[in-house]
Amino acid sequence: MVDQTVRRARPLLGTVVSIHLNDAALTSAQREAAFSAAFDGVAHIGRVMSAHASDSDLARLSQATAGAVLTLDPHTVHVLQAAQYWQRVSHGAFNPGWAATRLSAAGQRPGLTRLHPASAGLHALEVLSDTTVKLQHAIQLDLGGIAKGYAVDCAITKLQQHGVVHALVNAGGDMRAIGSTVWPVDVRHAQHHAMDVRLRGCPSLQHQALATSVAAPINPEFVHVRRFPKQLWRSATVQAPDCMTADVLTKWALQSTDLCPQLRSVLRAHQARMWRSS
Amino acid sequence: MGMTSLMAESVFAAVFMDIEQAQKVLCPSADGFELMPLSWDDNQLATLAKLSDTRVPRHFNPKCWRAMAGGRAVGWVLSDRVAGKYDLIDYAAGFDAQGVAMGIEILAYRESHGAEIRQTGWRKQFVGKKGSAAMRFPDDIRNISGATLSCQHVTEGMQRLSAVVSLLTAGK
Repeated sequence: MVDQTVRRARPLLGTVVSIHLNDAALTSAQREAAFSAAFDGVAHIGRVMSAHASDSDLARLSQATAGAVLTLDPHTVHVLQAAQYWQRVSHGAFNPGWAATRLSAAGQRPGLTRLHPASAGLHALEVLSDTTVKLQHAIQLDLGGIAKGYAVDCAITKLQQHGVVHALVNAGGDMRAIGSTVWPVDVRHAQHHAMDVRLRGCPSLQHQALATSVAAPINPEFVHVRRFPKQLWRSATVQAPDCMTADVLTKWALQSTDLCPQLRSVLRAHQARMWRSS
Repeated sequence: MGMTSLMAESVFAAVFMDIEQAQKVLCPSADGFELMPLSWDDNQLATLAKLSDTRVPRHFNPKCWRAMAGGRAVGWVLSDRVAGKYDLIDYAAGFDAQGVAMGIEILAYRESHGAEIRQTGWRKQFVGKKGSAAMRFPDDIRNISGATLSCQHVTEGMQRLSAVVSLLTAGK
């Protein structure tokens, strides 16, 4: 079988973002335009939602005082609203405020200047419009647990706007496929970097998104174990219709119990599936 | 799922484009590319380290092409390889005639996983297995989830290539 896939990869979002097109109908120029628009879309999300750059929306949020009204990029507002929804639905298992506090205290989020001692979380943010938010208190947020998945979704939207039907976007393990192409996928073992275990029940990806998160000690900052004395899961993989949902659900999946009826009901409602390893 | 399948998935490579494609993408106005031999003395290496604010690796040996259009130099394309903890990444960067970076493309990356494979206990479990335990070929792309490949080394490599181009343009 002749492999018609055309691939491009760029260093973005602190990882390698690759785009794979399997559209023989497109001309070379159309493909290049699609690649370019999709990578630009990812780069834009990386810029506005960076917790490293001092001029990003997140940096501006962290510098604003209580009562401030800020004009933000519409993508940022969209992700903030989604983050509020997921924090509420997951009862705080997904918590961008906690991630920001941990990571900036460790000196890993230089963009989140802590000007105010009392930094609150997402509950202190009120969305006024598609581009404006109001802060009830000074806040500090890190969207590392959700923005990469959203960036993948944005890249997919850009590809579709350029006439692409069959494609895969992979941002360092958070990926989404569109069209009828079946893409082979492996999931890396949480404890052994050497081993990529073929995920049972999900050997390939077709018209779905897939994300994997690993827990402490590999990735302690994004996974806050609230109620359980010991870590239950080392790795969680979620398949969902879009990548932002898959990305954020892995964070919750890592922290919930074996039975986790609430999580399972939300997974069903979002047409998502999960696989976990301990 | 047998252990052989774990081994088969343990090494992979992905090839995205060759250098000729990268040259055209990074410097579309050029009609030809001239390979430029590069070599540095210790003083120039020290300057590169200072300009790029990075440590210059011992075997730093990027390839450099001068992009030509109608007999005039219109820019530069450089390619280099960086090694991470588990990965080797080949990439290329384009610069205009003034040395301003115009773009970067990853040509290929491969995971080596040297550390784990050297652990004899881990390796023993594959002794006597055959069949799927072969290394994957570069065009057989597996999409790896749960593998956050860091591009920190590419960022540093890009700073070094920018420094190389500033030496080249300063020498003109």
